[in-house]
Amino acid sequence: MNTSASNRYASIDLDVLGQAVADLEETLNGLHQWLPGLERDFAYFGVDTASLNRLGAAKRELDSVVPDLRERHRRAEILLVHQSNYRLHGEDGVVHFTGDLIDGNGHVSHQIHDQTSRPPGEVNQWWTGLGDDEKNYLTEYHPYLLGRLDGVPVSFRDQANRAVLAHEIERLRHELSRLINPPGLDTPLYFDGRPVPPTDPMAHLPRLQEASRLGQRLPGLLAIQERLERTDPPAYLIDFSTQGLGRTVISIGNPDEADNVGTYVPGTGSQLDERINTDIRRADIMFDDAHDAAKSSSTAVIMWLGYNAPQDVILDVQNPSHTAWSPSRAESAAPNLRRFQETLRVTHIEGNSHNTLLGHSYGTTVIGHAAKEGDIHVDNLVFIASPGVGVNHVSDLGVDAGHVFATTAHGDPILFTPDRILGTQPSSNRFGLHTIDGTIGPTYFRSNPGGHSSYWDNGNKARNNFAYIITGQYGFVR
Amino acid sequence: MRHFIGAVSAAVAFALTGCTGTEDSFMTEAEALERAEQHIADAVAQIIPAPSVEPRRRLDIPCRDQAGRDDGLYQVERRYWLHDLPVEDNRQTFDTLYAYWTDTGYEIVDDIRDRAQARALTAHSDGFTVHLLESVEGELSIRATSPCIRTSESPSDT
Repeated sequence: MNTSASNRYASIDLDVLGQAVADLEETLNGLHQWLPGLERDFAYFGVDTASLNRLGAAKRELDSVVPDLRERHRRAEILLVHQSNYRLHGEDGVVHFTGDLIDGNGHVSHQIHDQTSRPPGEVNQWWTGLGDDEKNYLTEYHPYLLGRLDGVPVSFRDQANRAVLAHEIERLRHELSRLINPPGLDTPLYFDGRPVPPTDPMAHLPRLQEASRLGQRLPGLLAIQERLERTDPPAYLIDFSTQGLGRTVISIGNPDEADNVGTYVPGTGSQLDERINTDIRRADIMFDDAHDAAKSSSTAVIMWLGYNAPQDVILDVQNPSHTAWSPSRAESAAPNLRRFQETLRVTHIEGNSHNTLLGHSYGTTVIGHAAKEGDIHVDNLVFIASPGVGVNHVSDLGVDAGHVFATTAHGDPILFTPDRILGTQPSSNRFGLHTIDGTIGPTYFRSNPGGHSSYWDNGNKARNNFAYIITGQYGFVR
Repeated sequence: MRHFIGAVSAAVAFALTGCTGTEDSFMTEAEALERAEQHIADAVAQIIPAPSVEPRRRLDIPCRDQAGRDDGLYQVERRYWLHDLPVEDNRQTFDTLYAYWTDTGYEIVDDIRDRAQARALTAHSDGFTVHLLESVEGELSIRATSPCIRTSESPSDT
């Protein structure tokens, strides 16, 4: 164990500490086993007990120290597993941290690991009971865990995830550099814009493919960081991960404080790369439009890419679940989306906000699968260019049918999707929506003719309708 | 069934490619902003009494290529609140701009004047879109948007 100048542990070698604890426990067991007999014998024979007293003092000291060390070892093991999951340490089995695992605020390091499997309401109760120092400690020293912990207020998750984002950008740059310029290679050639060894490039294909993947991901991370740096209006990074296709949940405005909260779920093709910029921009657009439509109420709009979206509309017979022709990605995402909406209810500071879930394309399929399983904790559902939402009628969704809205543009090729693939399209009469003529009900509203991604274009009347629904001005939807 | 799905997926993939914005590859960012400002100024000049204008943040909208992916071009936008206008005159303001835009060759692409609140009017001219909106509280805002152009946000190789 290394200690810092302030006598706080800076790192623990798990193997060394584990062996030390085992040896000390063996010693302590020996003392417990032999000392009582020795004490009787010494007293019986009248032997000087000075040495025996020192052994007694050592036993008492070890009685205190060994459980402490054992607990430190146990907590360090938990931290090591956590850090391994996020690739935050090397292969040496040494866990690094600042502070103390037991004393001071370090005890919450242990507590936070117990929260990850609890419901958002219970997490929020735990969080509310912490002191400011403890909250700041967790934000600073456990950003990876805190950033994804449903039930923690958005402002703290944002702080934690900003740190995670900065770390991931650095890690990605370092990894990219290592892949492009591995040590020991001679003067590189250039292939696909990236340097490669001059001989046998095929042998390095996996490395180049990984470099290409990271090279596409980095602009996505930088786009998020760039948006977070702008403060008019402020953005909050509610969830973030680079695992798999990546996970990004970013809000324009603080949903914990807003009167109205819209959650936008993007569809096929979205992932943590440069395309994230368009999805974030759509949230910005809806934020501004809501402000234009209802200036006196505050609104936050969240871009929720908390799932692995299908990446292609072309049917992959070998891997059908990877494409937009399968509901499997939506089924996997549904519990996460439901839990996130429950979290918004839990962390809102004063009563309930007016919450709307908007999905585009396959995002509507995700919403439908989440809604059909029960309470999804929202006031409205909006299906934009939906290929099907996993149910065949609006009454099968767990939301009052009067608060279900949909639109699909004339000319949008999504209309060709057969009902048998993902369910009846909300644009179909069979789904149970109707166009409104002054009445409010399950509503099929208007958008301008256009392609599958035209709904946020300038002048598209769908944008006004999104704003009216998000701000609860249903009477103006048309 | 397999042939049917294959045909439909091919049709969808093909059809998804047709969703690009109007592009003006010769207009610079400065020119686009200037012309957007001019569309707004021309419209505001028609309103009596003259409103005070409050600029809003600039929010450019990404354009898409033939495959539906960002093509690195943007529609640049200017947006303003219009203050100091009596709410009871809002209908007249909408009628005034409808007449002005119609008379000066704009195409009216959306017209929601026939209600007491939350009116909207959208006009189109030379690739620019101008949009007048009334909030539910009666406040007016106006925005003008350019065709797809290269901006400082655009990658250097687009």
